[in-house]
Amino acid sequence: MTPETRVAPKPNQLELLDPEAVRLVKAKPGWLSLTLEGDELEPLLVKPVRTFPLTDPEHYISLLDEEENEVGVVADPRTLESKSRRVLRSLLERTYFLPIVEKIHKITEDFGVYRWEVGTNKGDRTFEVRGRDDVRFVANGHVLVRDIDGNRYHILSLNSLDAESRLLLDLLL
Amino acid sequence: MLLRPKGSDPAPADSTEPVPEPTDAETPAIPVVESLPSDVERIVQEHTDPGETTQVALHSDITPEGSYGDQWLIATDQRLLIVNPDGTTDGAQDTSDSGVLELPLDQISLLETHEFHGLGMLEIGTDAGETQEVQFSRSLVDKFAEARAVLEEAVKNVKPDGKLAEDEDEPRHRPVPKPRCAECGRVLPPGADRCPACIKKGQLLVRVVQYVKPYWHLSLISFLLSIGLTLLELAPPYLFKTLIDRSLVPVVPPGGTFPTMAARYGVLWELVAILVVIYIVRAVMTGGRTLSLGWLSNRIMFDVRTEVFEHLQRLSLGFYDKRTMGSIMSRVNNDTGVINGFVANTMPDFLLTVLRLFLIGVILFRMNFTLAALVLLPSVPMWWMARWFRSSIRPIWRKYWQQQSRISTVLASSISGVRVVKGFAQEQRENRRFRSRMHDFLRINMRTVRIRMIYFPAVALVSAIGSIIIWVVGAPQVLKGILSLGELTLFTNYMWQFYAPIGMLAEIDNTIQQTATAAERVFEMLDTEPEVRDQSDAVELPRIVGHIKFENVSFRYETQEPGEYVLEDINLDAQPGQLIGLVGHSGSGKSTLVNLLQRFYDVTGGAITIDGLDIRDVKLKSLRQQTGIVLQESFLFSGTIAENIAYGRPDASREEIMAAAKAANAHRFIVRFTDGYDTEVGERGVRLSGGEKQRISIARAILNNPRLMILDEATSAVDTETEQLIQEALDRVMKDRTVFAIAHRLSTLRNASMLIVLDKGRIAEVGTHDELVTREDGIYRKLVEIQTDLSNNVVLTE
Repeated sequence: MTPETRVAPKPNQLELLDPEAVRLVKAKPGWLSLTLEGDELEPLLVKPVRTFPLTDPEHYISLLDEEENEVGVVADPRTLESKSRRVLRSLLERTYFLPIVEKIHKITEDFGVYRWEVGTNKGDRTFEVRGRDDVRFVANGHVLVRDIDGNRYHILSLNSLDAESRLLLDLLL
Repeated sequence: MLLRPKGSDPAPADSTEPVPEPTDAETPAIPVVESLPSDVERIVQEHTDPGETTQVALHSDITPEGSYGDQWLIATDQRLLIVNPDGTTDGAQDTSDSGVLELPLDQISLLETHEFHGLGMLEIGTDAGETQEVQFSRSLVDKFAEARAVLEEAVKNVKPDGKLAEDEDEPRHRPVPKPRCAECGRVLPPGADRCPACIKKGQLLVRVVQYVKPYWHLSLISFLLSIGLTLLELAPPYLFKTLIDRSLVPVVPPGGTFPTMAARYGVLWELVAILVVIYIVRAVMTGGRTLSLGWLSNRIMFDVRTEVFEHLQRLSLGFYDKRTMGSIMSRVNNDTGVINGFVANTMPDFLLTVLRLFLIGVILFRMNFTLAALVLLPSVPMWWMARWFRSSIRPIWRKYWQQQSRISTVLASSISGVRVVKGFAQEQRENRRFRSRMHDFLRINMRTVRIRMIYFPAVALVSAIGSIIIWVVGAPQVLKGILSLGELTLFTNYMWQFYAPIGMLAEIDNTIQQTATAAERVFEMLDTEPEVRDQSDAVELPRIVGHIKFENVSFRYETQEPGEYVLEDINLDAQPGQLIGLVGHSGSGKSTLVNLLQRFYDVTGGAITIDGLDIRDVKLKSLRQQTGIVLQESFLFSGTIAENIAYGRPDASREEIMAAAKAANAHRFIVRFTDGYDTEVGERGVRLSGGEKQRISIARAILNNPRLMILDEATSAVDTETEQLIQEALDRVMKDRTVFAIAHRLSTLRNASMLIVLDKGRIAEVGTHDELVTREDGIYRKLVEIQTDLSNNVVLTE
């Protein structure tokens, strides 16, 4: 499986894959096998990554080969043939875990360690955050929270929260 | 004994070098004729004929023996005298009497000034080959340089052949501007642009108060509330007085009857009711005042800071060159804070205090003149004591902060240098160093303790005098029935209210001074107009084709003296799509040249045209939007990678951002981050390597799709492998654009269409790599040889 026999993208141009031609099937965990319609070559193992995981997680999925060279970018997975689309989406769901905080129930402080009790789109969770540097604004209004174990929690924006949660969070930012 | 610096040997007397004009029209002439003390005057008269006019009469503060003392250099149109009133002039062959040396001007063949370490010297050579020297301290360097020029003129006038040896390379002396106030001559304090003594404080404060204007209704409300509160503060003691005099110990007017118990209770409850109302009203008003003053103060802070910041964005680079980053930041942060503090706190407080003191004064004096005068008397010594305290504690505080920072320095150096300390087994020495600093710190702290030890008890004592006066003078008056008991308690209460703000009043002049200085700094900045700005008839620069021409361009920074240029006689002609390489030693003017191209500065002479349009006639924005720049130290803002790439075009689509990153060889490392293009960079974000940052900034330039690209040492700070990636990216960028590239590594420029070698601000060589490298003794050739030696890299010489 050497890259040069594969889809050979122009080296330094963004290669947007033709969604009609892309066929993705499951491979080992974290990997998919890619074939392009009209390309007679054998399937290529690719690892899909989100290029804008916070601001636009559902678009521009980059497919990397085993040497981490980019094979191409799927601009909008929704335009893929339905089976490939489902395979891709379920893989991304499995490889990217970044719960979105929907409600902050309580934040208590003890010697500079903050204990958060939150409701996320993946269920309720309690975690501890050390210091204020681990809660920060990124990318125009998104808030990322990192707990002491390195887990991350995503708050889409201050406005995505109810007033009560916002008040709790505001004091920490 | 001749002190001669290298290369200062008298040139042959037949040198034909023209003598420069003694003064430049733009530099103010320095007076070189000073009035002489009488003994020197007499000596001069003895040695000159009546008809001679004095050209130079200068005092020098160093004697020929090299110690401080008096010496005079005097020149008429005929002769030169060196008068040394206290001793013998050195090299006394020509002297007719002690202390005077006379030289006819027509025998002078050499006049030269030298600067040594800590002093200067005027060297005067004669036709006979002898040399006289006049030494002077650094304070007089400018005067003697001027005197030399005047002397030179005088010598030329008497020497018909006009021959005077001249050191060809002697740079013309330029007076170093002294940080003195133009009006009063005071030395300017560090960091000040204008003399604090000459600032028109009144005008400045009036301008400061202008910031209140838009909120006049708000300030009126706060002011009225403040007056109301002041009155309410004066009320409780007065009510207490009334309680005593009308209820507790009723004062019976002559002929009156003692009030009944019911009436006395009536008064009591009445007063209680009033007091309750007063306290409630006071609470409400205090809240209102806090709100209105807080709003006012924060609004003003907002207005001043944003105005200053927005003005800073407008100012040209020239403004930033003259100042340190720290001083500009301090203006935006601290100085605006000082202004705001004055408008929102000091000024209202001051007005209220004055009002309160006035009211208390009036009440007390009307009640009992003698007692009031006596009781308020201690406030005078208290005022003086407060002033003493402030002035003696201030230098100590300064010293305190200084010591504090010296402790931090020791800490920082011994902690960050811990490997060296341990490696040389110098722990004990570091301990001693730290101990000695802490000892200084202890001493300075104890000095403040000692001052406080004197001040606070002394103030307490002086104010106790007030209480004692009330007892000694007031109490007998109560016994005699002149003063009521209520009035006595009123005196005691008001006395404390009167004494309390005296410390603040003693500080007010200092506060005003600080405010004026801060305001001056802020307004000076606000009054600075950007040097580079659009002309009224500026046109949009059409899409650049890429024909760039420098015609006789010369440039000097504003801080430089006339005649001194960073760039001179620059002529070049770049065709669309060409890569122009700029080469030269550091300081040769390469970066200045590209700065001119982006019009960060305006040229001093000549013109730069893009496609035939003078860049001074086009709108700045339209020029800079079409130019892209990649610097050696790439600067990324805090934000995500995507935001940084899209800095010049915030509306760029995600696809465009990725395409630019791809072209800049950056996409590959970006997608490997968990957060991809949403990865936070900058101060608190992920750490990127120099090469990665550089590629992001190249992507930023590419996305802007500039028609004119400037690379200022874009690949100097990265390793060779990264350089290749960057070089690749740059090669793509350069396609169909005109590019100006400065490079230290000459290999970067091997494909340049034209190389321009700059030397001391002038174009020294022009040509392609192949042409220049064959030029014997060429600068470029030498640079190539050095680099080939260093890196053993044969690419260059092929």
